[in-house]
Amino acid sequence: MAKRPGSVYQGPLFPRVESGSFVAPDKIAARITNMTTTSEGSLESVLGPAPYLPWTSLQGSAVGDFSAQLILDAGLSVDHNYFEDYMATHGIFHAVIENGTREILLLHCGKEIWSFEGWERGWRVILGPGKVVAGESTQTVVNYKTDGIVNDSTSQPPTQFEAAPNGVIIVPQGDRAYFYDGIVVAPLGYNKAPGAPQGLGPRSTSATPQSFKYTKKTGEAYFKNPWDTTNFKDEDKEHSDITVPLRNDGGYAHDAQRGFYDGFPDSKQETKQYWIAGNQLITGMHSAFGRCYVGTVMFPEGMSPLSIRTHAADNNETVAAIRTPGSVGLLLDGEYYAAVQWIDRWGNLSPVSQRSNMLRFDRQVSAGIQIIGNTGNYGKDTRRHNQVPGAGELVAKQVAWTGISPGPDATIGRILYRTRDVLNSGSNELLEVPPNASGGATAYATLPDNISTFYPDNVSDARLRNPAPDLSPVPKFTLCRIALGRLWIGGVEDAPGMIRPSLPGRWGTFPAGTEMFPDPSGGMITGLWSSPNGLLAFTSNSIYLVSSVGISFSTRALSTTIGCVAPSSLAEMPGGVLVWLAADGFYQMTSSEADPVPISVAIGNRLKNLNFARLQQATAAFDPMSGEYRCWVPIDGTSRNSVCFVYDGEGWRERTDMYDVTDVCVTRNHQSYMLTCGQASGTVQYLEGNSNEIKRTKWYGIGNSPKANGVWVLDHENHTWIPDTTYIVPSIETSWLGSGSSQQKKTVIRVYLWLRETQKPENKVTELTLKGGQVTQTPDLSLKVSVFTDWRMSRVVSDEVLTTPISYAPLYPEEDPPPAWEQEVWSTTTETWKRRRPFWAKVEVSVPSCEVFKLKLEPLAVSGTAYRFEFLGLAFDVIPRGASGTRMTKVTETL
Amino acid sequence: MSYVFPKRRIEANTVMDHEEINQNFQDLIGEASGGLNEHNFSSNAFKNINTTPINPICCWYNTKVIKDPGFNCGELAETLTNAQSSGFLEDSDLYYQRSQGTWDIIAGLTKDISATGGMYWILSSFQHDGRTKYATGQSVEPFWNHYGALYALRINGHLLHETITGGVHNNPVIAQGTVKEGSGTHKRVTITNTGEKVYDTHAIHGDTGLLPVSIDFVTALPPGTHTIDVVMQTLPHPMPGNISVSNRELIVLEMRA
Repeated sequence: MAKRPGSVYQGPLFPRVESGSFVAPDKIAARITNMTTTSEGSLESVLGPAPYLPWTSLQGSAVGDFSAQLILDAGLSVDHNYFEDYMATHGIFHAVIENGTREILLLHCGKEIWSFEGWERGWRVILGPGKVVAGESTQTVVNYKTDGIVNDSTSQPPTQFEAAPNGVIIVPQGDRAYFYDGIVVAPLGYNKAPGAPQGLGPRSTSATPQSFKYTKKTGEAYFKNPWDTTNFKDEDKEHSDITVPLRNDGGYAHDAQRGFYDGFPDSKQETKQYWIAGNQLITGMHSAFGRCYVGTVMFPEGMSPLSIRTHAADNNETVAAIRTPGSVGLLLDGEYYAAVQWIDRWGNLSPVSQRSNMLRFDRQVSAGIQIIGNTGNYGKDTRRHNQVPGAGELVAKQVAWTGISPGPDATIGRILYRTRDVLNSGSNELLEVPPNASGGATAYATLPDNISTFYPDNVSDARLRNPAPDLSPVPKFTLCRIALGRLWIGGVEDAPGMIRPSLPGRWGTFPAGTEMFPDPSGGMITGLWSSPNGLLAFTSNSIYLVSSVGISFSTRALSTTIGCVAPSSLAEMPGGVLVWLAADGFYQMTSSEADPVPISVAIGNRLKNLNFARLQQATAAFDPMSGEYRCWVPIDGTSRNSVCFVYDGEGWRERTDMYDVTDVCVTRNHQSYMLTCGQASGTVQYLEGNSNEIKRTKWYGIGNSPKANGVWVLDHENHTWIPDTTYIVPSIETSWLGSGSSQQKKTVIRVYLWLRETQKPENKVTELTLKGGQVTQTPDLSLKVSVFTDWRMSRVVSDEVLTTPISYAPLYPEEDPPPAWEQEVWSTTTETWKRRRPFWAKVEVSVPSCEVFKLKLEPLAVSGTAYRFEFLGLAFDVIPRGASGTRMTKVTETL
Repeated sequence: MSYVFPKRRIEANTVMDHEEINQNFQDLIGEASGGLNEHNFSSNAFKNINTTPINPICCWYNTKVIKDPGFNCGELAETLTNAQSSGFLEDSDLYYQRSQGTWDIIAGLTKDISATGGMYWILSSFQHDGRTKYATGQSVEPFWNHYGALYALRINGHLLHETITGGVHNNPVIAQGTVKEGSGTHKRVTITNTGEKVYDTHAIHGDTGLLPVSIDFVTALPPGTHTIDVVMQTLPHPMPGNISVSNRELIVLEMRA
């Protein structure tokens, strides 16, 4: 069509982002929906979504049998492999841990946490009701049996996840946190302390005096044996008695006194195995155990070392050598306490238990043994024993701790703490008891198991060195982030304004006294993020930076007016640009400037429709493939995250390709898929592999039940899922064009669209058109061009709504048609592969005199196919009508 | 291979473009370029484990002897020890060792492998049975004995000292032994963890009966033939008893992942 006289060509315009402003430049669109930028600089309709667990093959062959399950190879069983197994989803997360060797995809689905098992498998429930632990079944991961975690779809953030080098921290909202290392899942750390252990030690059972004989003549001292007077000689009676009660002889009474004697000059082999058994020797232990080490021993003046004592022999008796080194010792009164701590397989420590009962040692003089007599040679055994003052170390004790409670699942050891002798050391501090036999760098616990409840303790006070850490139980919390080498938690139950760091590398161990309240006004923590400068802690209206100062931490306010309303809206774009959703829109901040900058002013009018009551459920991620920040929000009166706002660093677009997105993540492997969990509408279908014949289909429509819950791959599409074309319409709605000269009327006569070849229907659009650009029937696979004028999306004249002028443009150059699938007959030599090329399409619109006008471009699809539409720019011919001012409001002059 | 999602669905009437075909192959190329893990392996990939070194997934070797020790091994040992004069005695199933102060191969637990080079996981598990008796004919009354045994792995005759068994174990029984009180008879006594002495002349010793033992080692082996042994040494003693090994297995797994 020839150019009309007086018409003016305007353009081309290249709208790529949207704005709600009246006076937006013509290159800004009013709304761009379900379009994404391509590497060639065009706008292309979004692809997909596709279900992450596709319908690949079906058990059974009955047509219409939608309960059929996927067939799994190798007899492997999984818990969920079927499209309709999904329940309401609450969170999704992908991580690669263990130095890139273990890939984990987790889904919070219903009351359970699922783990993806890989190709031709499905989902395994790792956390949920009715599951079993390893060993009870053939399952490949250890499931944690619980009554089920929270399954709450009310307004709350998505389930939070955080990847650590050795696993993933799972934080269901309103439930306690868990840790999953790819094999085992268990609660994160300990939310309680073990019970206090019970101590076993000696007690003094009798007031029977222990007579202490002291001979002035020889300087030797020895005890009188209270049970055996046969060895007392007349000369002993000359000496004075020092009488003390019999001490430390009952209960758990073990020491090295009067114990095993292995020095018989005897040829019989078996004697080497013998104890000197007898009722009197109630505290002495076998010599193989050596001495005992617990207790404070002193060596009083006047109790000189014993030499080898000889005794005047009776008939047939000789006196054996008494090898008693050292000094005569005196055990002092002493007190001991102990406590227990659990340690789990990831090194997390529980709070230390309450202290045990007191173990008390009574003052006691050391006693040795003297053997008198001989065994004879094939004759009478005349051996007897006598008690004499013993070396100091012989009186030291051994104690034991019982009731050491085994820990909950994932506990692999218990650490025992004990005081030194409280009465004599001057300290009642609990110190770690090193394992007896395996101390050293590799020892992680005093009891390296989770079974035994008893621990014989023969560790001297001097070997107790490491003090017991003061730890807090793991509380319920809603947010977490690893920063500065620690796991920081926020949204703590009963202390919503508090954040708290774990020990470095022990993500479930929280030292006491490290709590911080970044916001002095006590504002609830609504977001945590790791930045190069430290930890960013958000409240709803403030931002604080937590940084390390030596071994401590400090906070600094970055903003006291801008905060974060949705913890999962935080995502980082290239260049260290952090983007998040605040109460009044989206903001960004760089680590170098640390100054929040609003970035959604252009769509501020659109964001007024956000559902603020549910804004905390917004969720976002950065898509590295497209370079877009995508945030799903509840808007326009819905309670679901129905609209995705897309930010490419320059402006905003929108997506509605998902009905509801409860959470989003990007796989951290080579695929970089953006995965969402939530609901989509469309048709699931199963194509038989060989014939490619559609065997079964089922439609999941909005407003119908069931909707399709699941996990979805965005920007990809396949034949197992045909998205519902009603709700995934890509469109470009220009701003009000001509607003800069809106005081002048203009007539739009023609629009030029710069498109790229996408679809080629059987019938040309031009063949369906009548004169004036109007068509007699809707042309399939074409571009629908609607024109609105004068700030209105509909026009009413005389109470009648006028039909919006609609035209259609082809999606390929009709004068140079490209090859299309299932239309070309591929021969041998002439045809070659070609890239789809850009082309211009002219659309006659013939909009009469107007102030401003708006174009809306929407592709048309046929049933069972996707919308395809690629756009580069537009231009138009207008005929200016001059500034008549006829519709301008007249101002009455006043005198 | 994991689930791979082509970017575009090919549909009728869609304009053809070789760039889009290439895009659909990008994910496949990504798989082939690496990133293989449990999400990528086919669910039946590990069906193909065998002892052929050229097998692409994994290669393993094993040897085992099945012998149920039952509950009367000691009686059997007594019979057999009548026939032995010194050293150790082998039969087709049970392996005995008696006061052998040197390392010797446990019968059946030796394997030659053809290594292609790389990391190997050597693991062996077996049942240690200490319930043997004094040889009959001694002047003393036969009673249960419990002399110790050590086990280790050996590669090409070189002992892997890190694999020698030993360590603490937690047992409510603190000590066991025999006592002779006064001029009385021998009594076997068990000292419990509460210090209590339990006299018992007939009980099976809790820590000297059947014990499961497992030892393993991960090492790099150069290409070539290697001999892997599981060896055993018993404590020399003037009044020796037999230690026997019943059910036993040796597995060598080449780790190619």
